[in-house]
Amino acid sequence: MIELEEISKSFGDVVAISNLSMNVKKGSITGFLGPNGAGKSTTLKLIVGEIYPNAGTVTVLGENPMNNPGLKRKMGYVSEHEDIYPWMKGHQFVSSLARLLLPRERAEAATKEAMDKVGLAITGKRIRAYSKGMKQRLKIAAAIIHNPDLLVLDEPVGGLDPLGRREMKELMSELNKEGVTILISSHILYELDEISSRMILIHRGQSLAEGAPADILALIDQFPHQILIQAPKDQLSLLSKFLIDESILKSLNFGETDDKLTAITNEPSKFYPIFTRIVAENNITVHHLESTTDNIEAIFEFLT
Amino acid sequence: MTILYQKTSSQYTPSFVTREALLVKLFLNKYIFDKKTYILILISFLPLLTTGNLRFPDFGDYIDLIGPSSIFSFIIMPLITLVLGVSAIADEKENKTISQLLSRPVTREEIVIAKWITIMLIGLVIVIIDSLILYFGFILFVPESIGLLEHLLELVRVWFYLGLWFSVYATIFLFLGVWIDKNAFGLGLAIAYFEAFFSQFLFGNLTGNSPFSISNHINYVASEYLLPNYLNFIISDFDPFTSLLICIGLILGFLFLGCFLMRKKDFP
Repeated sequence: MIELEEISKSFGDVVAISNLSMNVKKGSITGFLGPNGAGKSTTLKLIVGEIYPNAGTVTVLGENPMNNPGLKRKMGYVSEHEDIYPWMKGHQFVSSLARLLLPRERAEAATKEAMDKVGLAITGKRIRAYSKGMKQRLKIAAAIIHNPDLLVLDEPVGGLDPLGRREMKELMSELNKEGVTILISSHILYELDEISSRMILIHRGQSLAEGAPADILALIDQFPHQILIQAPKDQLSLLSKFLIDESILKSLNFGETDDKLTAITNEPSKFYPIFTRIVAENNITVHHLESTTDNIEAIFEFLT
Repeated sequence: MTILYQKTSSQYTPSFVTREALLVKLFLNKYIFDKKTYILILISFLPLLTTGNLRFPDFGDYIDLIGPSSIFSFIIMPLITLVLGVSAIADEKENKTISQLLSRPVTREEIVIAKWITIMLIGLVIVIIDSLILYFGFILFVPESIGLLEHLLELVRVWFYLGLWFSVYATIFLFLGVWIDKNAFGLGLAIAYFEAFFSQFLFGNLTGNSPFSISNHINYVASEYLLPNYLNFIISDFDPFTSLLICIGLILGFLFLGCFLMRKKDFP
């Protein structure tokens, strides 16, 4: 479906990708993982034809993706940026882009269905008034409106709360069952293990490991994992109680301010699904959840 | 889950004209909601401040307010062309919305052409409104200068003059916006004033109106074909038709260069 052969890409003196080869199999959900600055976004931009490689070849659905409108009809892309027009209304944004892909009579129905799928209601609200999570959902709606064969997503769950993340992952699984091949990136190691059928790890512009999630996670699990959680004080106490009950933590450290705590676990692959379940079931408000960057980088350093 | 639309939906290919129309419609929305558009209209009140000096005002004075060596030509037109031209593609790059456009089934060249059509439309509307503000300002603030319906035909000719001016400069600045990732506005400003002041005065002082100035060619065309009764502008040893061809050549040339660069460019 996607094949990258010995790709290199530099921006001035900065080498973003170096001799990277990888492939994404048809019908799979491939998790593309790496710390910030590893070259994930650059790789995805090469795949969707936004940038040219300095060396190597990129083949998507058997074609060169550069300036290839025919190929764009078969793929959807959600970038990491807020690449939406804030003055437009949500459904207007999706339907305007849909008209480039669908005839007028079908564009409106498809807009409604795509927005339903991502859990957005059609309102008169302009995009500038949307929350980060709603904007993210809107971008996904715009990317899936034409029922693409391939969906490329760059950190798509970044702005979503735990419940939103779970819904989005369910959506990815549903789309995959409908036959959509999905390549999805994240800098959070345990974000994608539930839904991915394959995982690719990238670090410093080079492919580090590629394979089944269980194998990749077994490799990563050798390293203690640190997660920063930010929530209102009362919610944080409740959350820590439930987390301790689950016996998946090595330690739990409250931060300098009373709205932050750091959880350390040796079972990160179990932690995230349990965490999401606790938050959803007990309606706990979480402002921020982050796998501490230093720790991720340390894991990748550990793997190299 | 129900699928309301079929897999075959991705096979739909709108025609080139439809694609361009859809993109233009999308881009036009931006200008309607953009404060810059309204600022560009408001600044056209500026030349009216100078009408107090007029002794026996007539339509010729109105032309003087927008013609060569006026506030309109030295300040307002460079600003309108710069803001609309440079920001056409540069804004999409800066706001990262270019990514959304590049992931759609349109070529990069089609994006540039649609942007060009959009800024031509919006630019023409702005210069028409600006010229009308001045026209009605003359009627209101300079009594007995021009009648309401007296010079409508000349007014349409003024629109052609300003439209030609806008087309040439805005296309050059659109190219700049595609080419340069940062400070395109600053470079555009430098070019506009270098063009307006230096090429005119530096080369022109010795030989009359210089053929090295783009605005001179535009003024020459206007003087010869559009407003011959009001403008007297000549480039020595130069045919006005050649000036017209130079203007058209600049528009098409820079549009082509903009498309060419866009095709080759990375959008990291």
